[in-house]
Amino acid sequence: MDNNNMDNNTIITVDKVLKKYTVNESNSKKGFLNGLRRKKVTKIAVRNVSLSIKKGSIIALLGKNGSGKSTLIKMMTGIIYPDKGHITVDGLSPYNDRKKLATRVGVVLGAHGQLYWNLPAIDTFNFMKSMYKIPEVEFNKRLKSYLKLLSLNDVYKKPVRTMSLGEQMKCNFVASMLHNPKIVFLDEPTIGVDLPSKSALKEAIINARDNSGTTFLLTTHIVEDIEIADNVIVIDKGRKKFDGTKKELEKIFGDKRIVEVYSSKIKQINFKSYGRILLEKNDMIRLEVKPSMLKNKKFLTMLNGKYISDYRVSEPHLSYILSKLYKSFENNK
Amino acid sequence: MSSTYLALFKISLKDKIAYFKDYMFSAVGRTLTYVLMIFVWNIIYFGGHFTTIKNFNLLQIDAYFVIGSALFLLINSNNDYIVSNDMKMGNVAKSLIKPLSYVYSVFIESFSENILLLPSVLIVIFFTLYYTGLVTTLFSIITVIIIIIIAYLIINILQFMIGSFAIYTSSAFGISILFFNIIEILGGAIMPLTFFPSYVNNIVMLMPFQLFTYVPASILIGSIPSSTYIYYIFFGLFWLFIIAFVGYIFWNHVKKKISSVGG
Repeated sequence: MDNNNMDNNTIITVDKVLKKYTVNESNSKKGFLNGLRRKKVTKIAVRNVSLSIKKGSIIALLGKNGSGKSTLIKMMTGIIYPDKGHITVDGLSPYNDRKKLATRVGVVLGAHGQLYWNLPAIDTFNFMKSMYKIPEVEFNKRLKSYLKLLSLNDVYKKPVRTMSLGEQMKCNFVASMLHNPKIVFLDEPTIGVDLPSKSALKEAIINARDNSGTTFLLTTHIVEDIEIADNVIVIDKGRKKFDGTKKELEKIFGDKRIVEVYSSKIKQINFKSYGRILLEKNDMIRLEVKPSMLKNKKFLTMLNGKYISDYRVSEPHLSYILSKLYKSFENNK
Repeated sequence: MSSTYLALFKISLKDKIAYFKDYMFSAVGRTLTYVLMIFVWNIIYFGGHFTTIKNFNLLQIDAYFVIGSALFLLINSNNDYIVSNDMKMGNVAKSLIKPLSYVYSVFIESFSENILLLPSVLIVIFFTLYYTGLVTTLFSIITVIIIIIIAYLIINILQFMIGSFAIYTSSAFGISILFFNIIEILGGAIMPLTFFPSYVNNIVMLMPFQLFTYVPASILIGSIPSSTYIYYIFFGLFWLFIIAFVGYIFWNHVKKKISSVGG
């Protein structure tokens, strides 16, 4: 992708990026000495991935473990360089302009927190203030607002080691937001975080996007995290498999309906003829059917028949769509 | 030092103070070997009825070990452990997301630990000189300060390089132990370098390790003539230049590897 063709509204472009790495794999042959020998194997973490991200959007980068999500984020932040292709983040080359870019982005790398373990989080926040040269008034204003939003007022003055994982994650998030970055990379931001903290984090992300136009790119395995995303990018084995809105994802991979049927005579009805059985209990059965089935006379008669006490039709949940999507990757090996 | 690195120094110092008691215990533990050396040399001097061995009398040898161990403790950095651990745990990435140089960040982190030891080291040195009555001059003190700064930089660069080996070997623990033992022996922490056989001494005297313990401790107890002080300063600067150059090339190589496989 030519930079000149970049839309003014585009803040990140990834153009045909490839990243290989070498790992030492143990020999699978039997025998003690063979077990000690290791062979070097070249693996491709990211294969010719291209994408562009618009300013002020929230993008969810999805994929299974080892799919290449974190490698892609590391390349976008300049931690590692691509073997082929180009990346531009806010007009900069991440690897060549790493330090300059670091002043414009915020990063939360999952477990690798920025907080000083033995010190209260406020010390790290003050360090961020000096490092990013944040004016005192702005710093105090932003800190106050994040502490309130994330319910950290009783927490930020106690040593990080005494904090819960959720509190640490929220403090890490604050540390990455204090300099009002244009882009924030969040690698597994809600891992190990309880429900109220997750909601607070999501609210903070939406607020930053709405009030400051911050762009967020978050990698996650957790389906609920995708709720706030404008767009979804799915990566599998280093390849981009999907790039679009949640609705488009649902349309392509979730073009089915889920029907839960309640009856005391489940065994007496041949549900297999209507669709795929997902779950069967004593008095309930969950079916996956084509949308057209909801207009099928025979099916509707059965649902309204004397054996059926109740039924419920719903669209498939995102988690269901994703598990189906990942399964399709397995089948297309 | 820019305000950013000054801020990094301040927070690193605060972080170290948080577990300073633990650090002091480990520092005291490390000096126990040298206390043992004093007992051993006392037995040798008394048992052999020696008044001097290779220009060191008993008072000087006692002072040598106390001052030498204190100085060695002061300049010995944790760079190898910090860098090796960062490579192993993938923490280099944590540093690279900040607008900071990783090398300076590591140096500042270990410096904040060493600086905490400075008051106790100064007390030990002045108390030893006062107690033994060994006379030292202002020229000697200034020379030792310059040599200690040079030695500190050399040992930091070497330990940084050793820690960086973890990117190739997964862990630099073994090589780190090996290096520590080498600088302890060849630096004169186990015995003054003049006690080595002359052919070994001739080789050891060409190496920079002598600046870590032997040279500064000997200057303070007056067993090295003041006419050689300038030589040792230039000798140290020469080695600092060589090691910094090698370190720079090595780090650029490691940096490429980190950028290739992740940090």
